[in-house]
Amino acid sequence: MADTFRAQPSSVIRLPHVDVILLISVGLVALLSIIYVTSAAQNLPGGGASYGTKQAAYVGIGLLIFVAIQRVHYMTILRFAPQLYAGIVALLIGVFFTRPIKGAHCWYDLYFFKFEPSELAKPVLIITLAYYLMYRDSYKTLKGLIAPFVLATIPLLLILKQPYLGGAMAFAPVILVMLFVAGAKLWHLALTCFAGASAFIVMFFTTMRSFQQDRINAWLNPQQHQHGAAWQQLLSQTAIGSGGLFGKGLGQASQNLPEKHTDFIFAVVAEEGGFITAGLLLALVFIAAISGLGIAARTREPAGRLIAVGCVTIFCSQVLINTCVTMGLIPTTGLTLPFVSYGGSSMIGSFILLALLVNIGSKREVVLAKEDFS
Amino acid sequence: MFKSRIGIVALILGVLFSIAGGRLFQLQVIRYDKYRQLSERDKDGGSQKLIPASRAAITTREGDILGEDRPFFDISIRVDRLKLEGVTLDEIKRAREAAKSLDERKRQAEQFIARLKDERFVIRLADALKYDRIDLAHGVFTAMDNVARKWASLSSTQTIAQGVGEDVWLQLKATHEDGFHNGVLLYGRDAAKISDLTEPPFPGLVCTLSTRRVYPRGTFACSVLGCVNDMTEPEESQLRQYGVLLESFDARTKAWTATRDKLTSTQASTLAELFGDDPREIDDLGHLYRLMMKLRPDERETVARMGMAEQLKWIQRPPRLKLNDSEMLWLGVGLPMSAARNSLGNRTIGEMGVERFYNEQLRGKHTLRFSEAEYHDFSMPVSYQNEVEPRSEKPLVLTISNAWQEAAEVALQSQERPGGIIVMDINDGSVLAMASNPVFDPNVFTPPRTGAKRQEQLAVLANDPNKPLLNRTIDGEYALGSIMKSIVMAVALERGQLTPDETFQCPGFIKEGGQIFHCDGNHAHGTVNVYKCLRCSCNVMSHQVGARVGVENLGPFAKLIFGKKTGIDLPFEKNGIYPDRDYRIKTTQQGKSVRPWTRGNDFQLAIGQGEMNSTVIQATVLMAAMANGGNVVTPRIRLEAPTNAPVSLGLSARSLNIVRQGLDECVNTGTPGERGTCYTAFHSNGELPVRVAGKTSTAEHKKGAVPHAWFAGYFPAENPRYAFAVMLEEAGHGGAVAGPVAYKMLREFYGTKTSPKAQTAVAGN
Repeated sequence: MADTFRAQPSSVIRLPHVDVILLISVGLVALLSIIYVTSAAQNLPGGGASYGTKQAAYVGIGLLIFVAIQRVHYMTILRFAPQLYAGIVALLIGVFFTRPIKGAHCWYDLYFFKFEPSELAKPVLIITLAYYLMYRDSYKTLKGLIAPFVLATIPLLLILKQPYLGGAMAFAPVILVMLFVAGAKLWHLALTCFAGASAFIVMFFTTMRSFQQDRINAWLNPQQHQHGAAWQQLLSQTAIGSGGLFGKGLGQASQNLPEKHTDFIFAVVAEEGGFITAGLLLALVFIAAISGLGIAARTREPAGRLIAVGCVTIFCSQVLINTCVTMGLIPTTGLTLPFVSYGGSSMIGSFILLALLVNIGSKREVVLAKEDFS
Repeated sequence: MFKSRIGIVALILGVLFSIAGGRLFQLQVIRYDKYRQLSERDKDGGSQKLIPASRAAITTREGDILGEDRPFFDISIRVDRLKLEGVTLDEIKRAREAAKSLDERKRQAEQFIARLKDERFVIRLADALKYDRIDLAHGVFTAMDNVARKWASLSSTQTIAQGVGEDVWLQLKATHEDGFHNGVLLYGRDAAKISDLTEPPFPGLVCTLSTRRVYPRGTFACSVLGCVNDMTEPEESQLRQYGVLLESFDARTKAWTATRDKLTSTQASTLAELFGDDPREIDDLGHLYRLMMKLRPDERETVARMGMAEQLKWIQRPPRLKLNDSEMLWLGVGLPMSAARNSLGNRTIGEMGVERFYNEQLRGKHTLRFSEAEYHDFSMPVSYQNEVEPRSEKPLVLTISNAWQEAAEVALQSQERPGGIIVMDINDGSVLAMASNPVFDPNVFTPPRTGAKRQEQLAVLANDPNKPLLNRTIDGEYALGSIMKSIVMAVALERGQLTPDETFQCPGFIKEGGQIFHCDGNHAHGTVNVYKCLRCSCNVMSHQVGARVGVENLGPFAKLIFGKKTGIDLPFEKNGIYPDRDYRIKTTQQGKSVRPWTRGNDFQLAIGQGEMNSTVIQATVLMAAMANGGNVVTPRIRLEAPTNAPVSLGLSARSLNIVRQGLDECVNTGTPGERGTCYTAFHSNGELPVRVAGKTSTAEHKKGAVPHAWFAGYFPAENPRYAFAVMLEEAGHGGAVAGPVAYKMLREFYGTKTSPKAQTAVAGN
């Protein structure tokens, strides 16, 4: 089956075109992650070493999945997009019937591992959108935009309902960027942005959970805020600021920051490693993003381009949202830092995205579409 | 188009990453100094501090302050800046680790204190403060020891001397804290430059302010007020174990992790049902506490069976210490644990009296304070700012009335014998005066209870054979004596076993079961009816009437007052004894037969003797019931305390009127030969402007001992408003000793008919 898509003559190139810069930068980020998770978790029950080991194991599992995905052509995966989409929607619905953990329906408890379907939903959604958009140009009309948005909105609403605001928020730019790159009209997208913002405001006053509202209120209006949501950001801001240029050194973080090994890991990196390390982390992410965009630009096959752009966007939007939260630029959302935060689902989900990206980069597809989308 | 669009995306990403990087640069490089300082301060526990609320004041019903917190000038030290010649912190730490037993640790402490006593720091400071050297050395050692055992952080300020003179304090403050701070402001944290500043005379010394409980009127109403103390070490460590402090927080986190890992999957799923959250997911103790708190008792049992018995113990509150909101917050997430590093703040706790009973209301709400820098830098949420001022509760207003309390104390203290007086409103049970003699000064108990002089004062109070700390009005049980006759007569009349016209012959004694029962002094009263019986306190008639009624028939009436607490809002109230069958069964040892009740026992009960025991407040409630139409009120000492609906004795107005007539005659009939037992006391030193009714009692309690003297009654006799009871331990005849005390009290309040005192405050209401 896969061979029908493998139009490339097998004799031409045996070695895959692996983007070395991308892999090196992501690898360094994962290395930083293991170091700083160990340091951040040192006061947690079980000790930092156990968290570090587990994180290293997650990286290992991620790498295995990465290699496995390289064995398959991304076009093969793409063919199963409808099935994958149906499956992820089913998983997202099914999670509501499990026991809540920390008051949210976010996880499937597999006893040895907590599986977070929303992490898997990210690549699946990107693939689905790419599958839908690849040979169409209906999205150039306003009416044609409805279908991709509905496609994306169903799982997003389910994620929002879990409730996992951060996950849904990080994904919103992906839809816009993918449509933008695909060639949708700018003013159409602007209109959708406006509609989306309005919907968000309406939702804020109607369906949003009170703690989500609190976080946003705390950020918008700290003077009148009645709860402790701003406190966490205050602590992380102090932590980052006190790190200075060179940092306090590993294990020297003085702040008692909640969630510091997961959502606020960036604060620990910045405090212990200083501006040098935190800046390096941001730079590595940016380099990875640019190489990812390079892959997209080099790929002429439309679905591959779109998937590559989607992967880069979701990665960057997560990093930007997460770091800006820790630096007090936007309200707390509860989003992990990909490749850095402690946690199996996040790490494996990130590796799947990376694998797709590298897969696309390494399979120089014969042009099947017009030269350009426009 | 396609590629250019990707280019646009790259550009946008570039801009966004520059913003993030710029912000990072701003925080870490441009504003580094500020955040570094904030973070240092947080490490010191300096940016958030627990500010204890001052204890609420206690006032009389007129609003006069009886007890309040007043500022107090303290001297504290910071162990990290301390420069001692001999003793070092490491030494204390090592000794602590080496010590094997509590005794050894005590010995070590004494050695250290002896060495610290000769430190130049201590000698010079003691000179400057005019303070005892050993006390000071003790304070320094405790501070260092607290650091050694991690109860306090190295840089926290710990008090070593309390209540020093204001002048010395101001002087020291000028040369120490402010000077040093100015140096830090000028030179930042550059250690070399700071040391260039003139070294303060006492390095490490910090002048602090605290509050101290003061009872401005000394012994006035002392038995109502009670006293305060610091939490004892067991109480404090109980609080620490409760998870309030970091040290135990870690230990508990470890214990919880161990328990959690041991849970089987069935146990875990059962627990998850109860908690609404998977226990294996709970990392945060505060969350666990909150989940456990929500459980119902039966659910708690299930949880205990599931292997979480130890965790359940953590949420059981220490008996005397209820945590208030801000302390509960310490257990929660999202709040800085550095707050918990500070010691508990206001460690004052009520030990006796209303200070103890209303401890929770008086304590107020502690709060967390943030440094000023934080407000400016972060626009701190308003909720934190609001809580910057600790919230003390409103003053606790007592029902005690100035004039009545003064009158009662003057009258009572004119006697040598120990005793107690109560004056109470007959309708709402509010206590206007409650005095116990001898008195004590509650200021003596206010911590610190250290220092030679203080120790001596405390020893005197503790060793006084007259037990001044005993509140004799509620905490002492005494034979009630003849006052009991009033209720016996009322019940007999009510049950139709006695009519007002029926007469008895009193030869001064009566034989029963081989025993002879006497009237007082074997005095023969002759022909006696119910009025004369109450007026002259004839035992012979009372014995016979009491035997007619019997202990079990009297019970339904008498047990509404006797043998149970009246429910006054003061601690340590005694029950007293009403010796009916229930009581005898309860007190009989297992396997032995219950003592039979004889007619002779009925004889004794009728005059309030034998096993019968009562408190002064019960006698007051009895008199109030006689005066207010047979309603048993619940006495109260706090003005705002809820009034309980009175319980009716079920006595008709007719019966009560007859008894009231008798009680009136007891005080006001002066016909020679028919004279009431309390006539002389009230009518020989000038007439009162108010007519009093009452019953004397001379209660024998021990063979050969002087009897307790009682006088209980109410006034004005025509239209009763107040009930009272006076009791003097082993003082003699009720009419001769207790009666004059009551008279004296009323004269203090009302004056005499010829020289009336203007009393409008309470009497006018």
